[in-house]
Amino acid sequence: MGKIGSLIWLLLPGLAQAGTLVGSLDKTMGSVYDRFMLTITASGSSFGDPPAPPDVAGLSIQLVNQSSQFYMINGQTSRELELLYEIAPSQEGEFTIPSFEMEVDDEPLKTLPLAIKVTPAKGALPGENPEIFVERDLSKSSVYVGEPFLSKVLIHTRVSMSQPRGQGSHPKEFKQIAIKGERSFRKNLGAQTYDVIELAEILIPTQAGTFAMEPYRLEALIPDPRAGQNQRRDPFPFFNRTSRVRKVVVSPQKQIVVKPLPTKGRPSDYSGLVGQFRLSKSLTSDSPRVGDTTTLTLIVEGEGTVKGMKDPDLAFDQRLKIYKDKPIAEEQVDRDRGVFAKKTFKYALVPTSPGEVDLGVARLSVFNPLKHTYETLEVTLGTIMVKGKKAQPAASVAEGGDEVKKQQVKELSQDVFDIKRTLSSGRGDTLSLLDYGLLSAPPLVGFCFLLGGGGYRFGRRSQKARASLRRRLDAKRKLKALLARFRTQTIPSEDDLQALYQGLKEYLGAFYEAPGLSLTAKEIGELLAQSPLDQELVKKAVSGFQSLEASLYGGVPPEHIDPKELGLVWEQVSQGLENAR
Amino acid sequence: MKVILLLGWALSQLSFAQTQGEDLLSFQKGITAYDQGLYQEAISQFEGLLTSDSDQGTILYNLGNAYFKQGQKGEALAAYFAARTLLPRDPELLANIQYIQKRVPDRLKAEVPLPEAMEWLRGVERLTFFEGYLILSLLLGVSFFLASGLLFFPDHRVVLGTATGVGLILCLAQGGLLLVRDRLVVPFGAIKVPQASILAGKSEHATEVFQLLEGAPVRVRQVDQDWFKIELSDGKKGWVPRSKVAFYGPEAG
Repeated sequence: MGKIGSLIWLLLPGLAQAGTLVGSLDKTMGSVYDRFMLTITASGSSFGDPPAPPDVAGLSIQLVNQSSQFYMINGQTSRELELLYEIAPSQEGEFTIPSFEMEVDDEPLKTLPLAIKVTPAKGALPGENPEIFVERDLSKSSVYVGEPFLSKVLIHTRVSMSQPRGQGSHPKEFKQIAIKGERSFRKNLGAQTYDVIELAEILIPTQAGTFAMEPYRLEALIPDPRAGQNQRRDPFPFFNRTSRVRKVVVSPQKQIVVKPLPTKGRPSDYSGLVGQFRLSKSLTSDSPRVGDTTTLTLIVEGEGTVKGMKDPDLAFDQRLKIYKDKPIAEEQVDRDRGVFAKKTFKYALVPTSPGEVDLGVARLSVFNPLKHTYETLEVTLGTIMVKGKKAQPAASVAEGGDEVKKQQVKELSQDVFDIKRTLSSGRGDTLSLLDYGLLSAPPLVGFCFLLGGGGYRFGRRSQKARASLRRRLDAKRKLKALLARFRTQTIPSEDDLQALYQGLKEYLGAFYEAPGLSLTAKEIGELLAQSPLDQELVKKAVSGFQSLEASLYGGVPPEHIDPKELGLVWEQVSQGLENAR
Repeated sequence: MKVILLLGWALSQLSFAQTQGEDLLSFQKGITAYDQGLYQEAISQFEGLLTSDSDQGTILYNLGNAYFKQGQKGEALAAYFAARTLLPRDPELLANIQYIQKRVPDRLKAEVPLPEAMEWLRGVERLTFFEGYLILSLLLGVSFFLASGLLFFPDHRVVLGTATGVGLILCLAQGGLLLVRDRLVVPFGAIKVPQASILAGKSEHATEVFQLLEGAPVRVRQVDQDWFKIELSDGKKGWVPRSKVAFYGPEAG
């Protein structure tokens, strides 16, 4: 195997068959890219738990494999346990690996310390063409506070890798902007072709100093390198046909120097920007009318971050009312260019007087890390020519009431409207006695009309009914007397005939609320036919009435009339009608 | 007896006039203090009038102005919101609310949520309590008047009956609108501290549901000792200590 080893073992004194514990290294010197393999071999019949890897600063030690074998020689049986540790250095230097301790045949044994020497990496390719290795690449080795730089982790592998787990962090003095996703490409290093996975992030230092970037640690399963020197990449790794070992690799440590921003030459209005920036402006209209809005847009953009920057100070003319929008910041990160940021400031300018208004100059002081100096970005905002008449002050807008557009109130008012100087009567939220009177008046008046109308109608109806009743009772009484007298006569006189004739019509007229004197025999017959009287009686009554008519106006002698029968019939009729009522 | 009654009436009138005079004096003192920039004094004078029988809409408006001048935007908005229920169409009040709301970080609506299809009903917010009932009263009076015409003019029964029916339907509609108004026109309060945590329960240790910043309008739905249960116009609810909310309405939602 040709490796340089250090063989140290401890034997329990006086026992030829006692257990042994041997530690050996595959090499004692290599570069930071190299991996050292430490093998612990235990011989005996029983073994304790495998020893935990010791903590050594600058080295990452990990148990990657273990195997055991059984021997029978001359009837004697023995077992051998082999533990394989991988040592990945993250920095150069000389290191001592402390003893490993383990129980063999119930006795505690330990190896002697082992020493290795790690040299700096030479060239891009780590020594001995490792199957997998990790590098951390920083776009700059020296930056200013607030200057973004790119930090990349490059995972090189020439074998199939599975279940990779990476771990790396940055000092807390750095803000991080993550770059999503990863980039993969192939790279030839020496005679080997590596698949490279690139992970990137933007780091922004917040404090000055020298900082060590923590090594990136990758843990993955790769084909067992001892399974064959000629093993090539497995084209079908998902079949898992080859035996795999867990491999841990770490990137060499990197350092970065963060310089403070120079105090010399720092302008008093320094905006806090660090990077290469540009300043530009645009104006929606250079000839607005008084009261119209024109929007001034200032854009700061460039390489660097705009978070936390101060807003540019602009001194506008007093004839303008300024309404500033909330600035909009956008940042784009790119794994090649770093951070590209843009911040947009918008100002709504409302001129209140006509004439030419100079908008002045916008200035922004930034620190340029490439030039190592502060510089002031300037842009001339130009002038606007305002048309129209001078705007009325806000107070008069309120007095305009509904005639003033709401938009004008919104744009021209600089303050709240003044307080009110008079009190109205009443609380406003409760009703006073007067309010109650006012509210109840309309329904009350309406209801009175309704009530009065109803009373009037009722009164009218009662009066008519009373008159009708009186008329009917008088007629009834009169008829009763006439009939009583008529029945006592043998041959009625013309006056008696006439009186009875009139009395019957008056009674029927009063009873049916009709003009009685104009009633004819036919109408009387029709009225009585609708009554509940016996129809034979009705016929007799109508016939008797006709006989009265015939005697009075037809020249028929009164002897043809039977006064008793006629009187009796009509007495029955009047009685029947009264009863039916 | 009549003399005693007359004397009692005269004394009550005298007492009423005296109270009115004192209110007016406090009001004038508030205005003078405001004009002199003594806003705290103006606030004291105007707040003292909040329980009086004087014009509450105007007093709340002036109170809002004094608070704003003193830099207390949350208190100012709460006073304006309360004034808005009494002076719903006052252009100066509406402009002042809009002005301050543009200058606070939480620009939430100070209105009771309504389904989109019923948004048109918001018009009733512009009616005062008195005006709403006056319309109802007039409609009712006209309906009675028309109904009485049926008695006097029976020959026009169809026309008068129809008109009375329409009048009564309008009465019902106006009654419904008044109910809607009572539901919509509620005084909102406002957060008066720079930042307030709205909690899930009435305890400082309750889970924070969300945060509100100064001036955020809130509707007080429930009062429990030192806590308000508030609701935002988007329906979010939570509890907040009473000390963090300015509110000039009746203490229930």
